[in-house]
Amino acid sequence: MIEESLELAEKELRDIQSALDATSIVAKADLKGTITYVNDKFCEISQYSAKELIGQDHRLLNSGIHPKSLWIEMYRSVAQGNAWRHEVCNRAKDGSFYWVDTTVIGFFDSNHKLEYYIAIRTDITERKQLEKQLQAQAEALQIAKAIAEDASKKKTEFLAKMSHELRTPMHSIISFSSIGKKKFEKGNTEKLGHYFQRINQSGDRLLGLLNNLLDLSKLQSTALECELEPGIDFSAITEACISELTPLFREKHITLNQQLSKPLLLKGDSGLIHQVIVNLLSNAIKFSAEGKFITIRALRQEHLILGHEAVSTPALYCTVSDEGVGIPEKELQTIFEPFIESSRTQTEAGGTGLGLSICKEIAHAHKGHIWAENNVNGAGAAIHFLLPLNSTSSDGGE
Amino acid sequence: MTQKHTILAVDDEPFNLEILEELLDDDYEIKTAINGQLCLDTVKDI
Repeated sequence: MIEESLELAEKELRDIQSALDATSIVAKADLKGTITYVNDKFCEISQYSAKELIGQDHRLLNSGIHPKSLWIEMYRSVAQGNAWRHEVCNRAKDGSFYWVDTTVIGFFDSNHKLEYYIAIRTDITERKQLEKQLQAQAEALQIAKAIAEDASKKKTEFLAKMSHELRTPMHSIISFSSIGKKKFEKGNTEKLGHYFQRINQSGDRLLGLLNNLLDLSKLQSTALECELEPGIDFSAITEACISELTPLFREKHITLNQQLSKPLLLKGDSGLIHQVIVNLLSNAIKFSAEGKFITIRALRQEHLILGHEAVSTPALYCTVSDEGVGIPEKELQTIFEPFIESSRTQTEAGGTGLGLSICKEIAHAHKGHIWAENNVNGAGAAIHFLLPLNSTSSDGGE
Repeated sequence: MTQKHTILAVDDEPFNLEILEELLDDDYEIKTAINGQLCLDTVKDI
């Protein structure tokens, strides 16, 4: 009778153990932390055989990512008779990490003395990886959000500045015409010619501004890729720009030094390249005193440098340098932003504040790079740009 | 006849200064400055 019930109890225990072995990672360790028993699941996840594990210190599996204080806390808790539960990262035989939801229970002898530990673990590696991915995604989303917010802020600033820039010449047109009208009604025609001239100048400025705004928004909104034609000659375009600007050079008695390699063939939009050169040269003229020198240099070089990266693509390196007032160091970057003009030139220059923004957009549309520097000798500033050259057609020099 | 009051107009747009001169010239003594430095210099002179 007793034997029978003992047998039944044993069977029940075996059933419970097999259910546990089928689902959980089970190990037993003595008070020193030496492994005394492992089940198949334990071997499977740790990649060690039972032979390799039994008799080893449990720290064999330590991943090293948890602080020592966690284990001190575990031993204290278990010694007090509590089940200790935590998510733990362990290291398998091949060095890879796995995560387990771990419960450690201490067992006591009849004298209430701690005898050994049993640890029951569940594999949560996949969940941990998902959590990590989710966190990475959340971080990426956060970054994307910050970029979008910054772009929206820039757009708002752009609109505010644009409205101001449009209002100024508009205000002049309305004021000069209204002053003229009043004088005309009183029969005073003396200054009417002058007022018409001011209205005309303000209208020109307004039109120039609108044209620039349209150029800029077109450049920012369309992919130019398809409009780029292969084999346009930078040197020929530059020469055309120079002859177009000759009256302005003559007017201020400015001498232009040219160093142009010929030909410099690139894939691009000749109208846009023309616009960049005219913008840079007319800026240089505007910021130069009478009788000064301006230099334009365009050479071929073997490497295209974009940011900190050098690509072994032949490139056009062009510099437009003047002997003007130069650019304050902290404004070297910002002058390429819409409506930002150098504080040294703002008053007299009378530009739209969009010229360099347009140049930057055009350089980017041609996969190039544009930047400003002050000349080393302290006299004037230089705008440099790099554009990738047609690697095939510029080699022959035909 | 009372003496005209003086107004110093400061703006970085030359046309704006010209417009102010046209509008106020009959009743006031108008001085203009195109930047902060010139504004301070002119104030010293007044």
